[in-house]
Amino acid sequence: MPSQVELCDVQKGFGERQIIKGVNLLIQPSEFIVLVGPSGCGKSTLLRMIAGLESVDTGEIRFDGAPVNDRRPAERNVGMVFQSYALYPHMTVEENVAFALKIARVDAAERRQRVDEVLDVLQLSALRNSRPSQLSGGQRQRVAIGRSIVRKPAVFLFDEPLSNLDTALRVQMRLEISRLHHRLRNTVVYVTHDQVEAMTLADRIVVLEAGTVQQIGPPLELYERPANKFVAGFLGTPQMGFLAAEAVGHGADGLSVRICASGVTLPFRGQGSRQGNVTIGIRPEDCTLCAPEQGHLAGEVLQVERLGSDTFAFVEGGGEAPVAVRVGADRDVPAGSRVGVTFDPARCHLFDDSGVTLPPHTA
Amino acid sequence: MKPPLNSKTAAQRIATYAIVLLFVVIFVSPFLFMLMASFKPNQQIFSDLSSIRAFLPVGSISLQNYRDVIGSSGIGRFALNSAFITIVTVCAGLFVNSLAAFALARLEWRGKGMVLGLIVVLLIIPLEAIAVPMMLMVAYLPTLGFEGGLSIQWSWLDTRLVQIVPFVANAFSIFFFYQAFSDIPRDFDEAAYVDGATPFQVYRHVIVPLSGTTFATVAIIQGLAAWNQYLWPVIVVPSEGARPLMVGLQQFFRFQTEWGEVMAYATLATLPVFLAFIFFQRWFVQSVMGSGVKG
Repeated sequence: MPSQVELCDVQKGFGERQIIKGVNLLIQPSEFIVLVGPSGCGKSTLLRMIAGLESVDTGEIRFDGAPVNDRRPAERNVGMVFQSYALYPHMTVEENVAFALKIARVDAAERRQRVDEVLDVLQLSALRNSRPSQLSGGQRQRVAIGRSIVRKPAVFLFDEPLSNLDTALRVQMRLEISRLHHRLRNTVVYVTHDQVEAMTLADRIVVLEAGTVQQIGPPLELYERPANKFVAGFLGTPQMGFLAAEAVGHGADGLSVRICASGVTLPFRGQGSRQGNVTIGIRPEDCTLCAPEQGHLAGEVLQVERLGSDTFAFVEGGGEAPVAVRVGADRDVPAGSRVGVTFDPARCHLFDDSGVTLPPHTA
Repeated sequence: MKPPLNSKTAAQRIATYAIVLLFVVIFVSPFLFMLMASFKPNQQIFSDLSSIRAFLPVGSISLQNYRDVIGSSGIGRFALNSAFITIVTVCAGLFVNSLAAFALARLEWRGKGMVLGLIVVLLIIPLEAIAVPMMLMVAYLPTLGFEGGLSIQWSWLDTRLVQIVPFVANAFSIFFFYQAFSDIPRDFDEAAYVDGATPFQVYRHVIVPLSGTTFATVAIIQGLAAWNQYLWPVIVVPSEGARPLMVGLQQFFRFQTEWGEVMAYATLATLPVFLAFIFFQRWFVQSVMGSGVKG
């Protein structure tokens, strides 16, 4: 049975350094939750706390309503896939998968049957007598998954499981993990720093920064309505472009915001009256290139990335960083050329001085 | 103009071989002399001393010295004592020291750093410095006696036990295991804990199988030390019953002017070590290089 996992004001520090600063999270049974954030944000620590590999300083972790803070990892009924796979090099694939059952003293016949089932599901039957050193990265990853599912745990924990794989294999394994989740319907907590993994796998994404939750929600909601500048910048490739601006007045068209770099003033509908510094955020797909004199912004094309399906031009327009603009795959934009960038204010995001979205989306 | 690269390399290689050969001669010649002398009568040993013949199987060669040693010196009993002491010390030592190292390297507990520090300090204390207090301790320890029915005896002196127990726990072995265990990724332990293993099961199923070379290395080092024990048994084993081979050799040497027999005895005492070296050569060299310890 999949479990409900609840984190109530969970905190954790190592020495003087506070890593997790009061996380609250309710994960529903069978839900696929992805913890995402930059390196050092505490996502792996949080996962290890759920697994029982790290203690909780304050707060409580509950499985199906029951506190598990004092339970050993084995008593929490979780399965974990490590970034390094952690396959025992002296054991064969079969022995690795059977290890947990052997420890639990499951009788030999049942053990054999359950291991066969798992190897079959993960298409590893032909490799049952191989050692980890004889396997490819993808095969090792599948063995690691097999080892965690053979016990039929209520909660699966994945700690950056695809980070050691090449791009093609990563896409393939992503699909396999997704298929496995649909088949088994276990609760999954998955840690990654790869936003594509997060966007494609998650029912809900939890964005962490410096030990605090920045926003929780379905992938598209986070992408389209980020709660703050950090989430807006973290999700999306290339990153959302940010332009320093100033709120200068409020009229019939809404809030008037003047872009500092170009001096162009744009109306933002639905915004309340305010004055002072703001930041405009704009996604690459919401920008268009035009003649320099016609754009809301003008600048030099610093770099052009041609990805086949898309081409991105990075325009130095006096913002915090070059603004990425998606152009047609077949369009030729020479680097070094001077261009204008235009965009629809309705598609823009507006952030106040502290980085919170205006009007703020609730986390 | 630069000298040709390969000629310089060849000269270096010759110099290296010459130095290696010199060391081989220095280290091998005493063993060769011992072996050859063990087949020769006393007079010939002295007459050969001034020439290369001392290192060659020439002249009157026979196994007579070996027959005399085996027939009269009690070497069989001493060898059995040494074998027993070595095997038990090594087996118990591997278990005890690796478990201690596992607790230090893989478990979290208060005072761990201090205990590790104490063990490192123990590494530099030689047996000679503590032999007398140790002797006083073992002289008053209780043990079970079986002569004339089961009874408690209040001394470990003159037993095999006294040559084993003090050397089972070994600071060097613990530290050697500790270093090896510390290098094993912690993910293995954590994966096993998530799978339901206890710390002892992690030790038994994960750490031990991944440390085969380390166990072999420690077995060799501790085994050599146990086999070659001399000072401690001289102090605590006065009679012949529990006497080990090395003390037996010394006793034999004390009352013996037949150098051929002395050499035969020494050869027999060295033989097991020599065979062990041939058998475990790879690990032995690794252990000496890895630990910086004299073999």
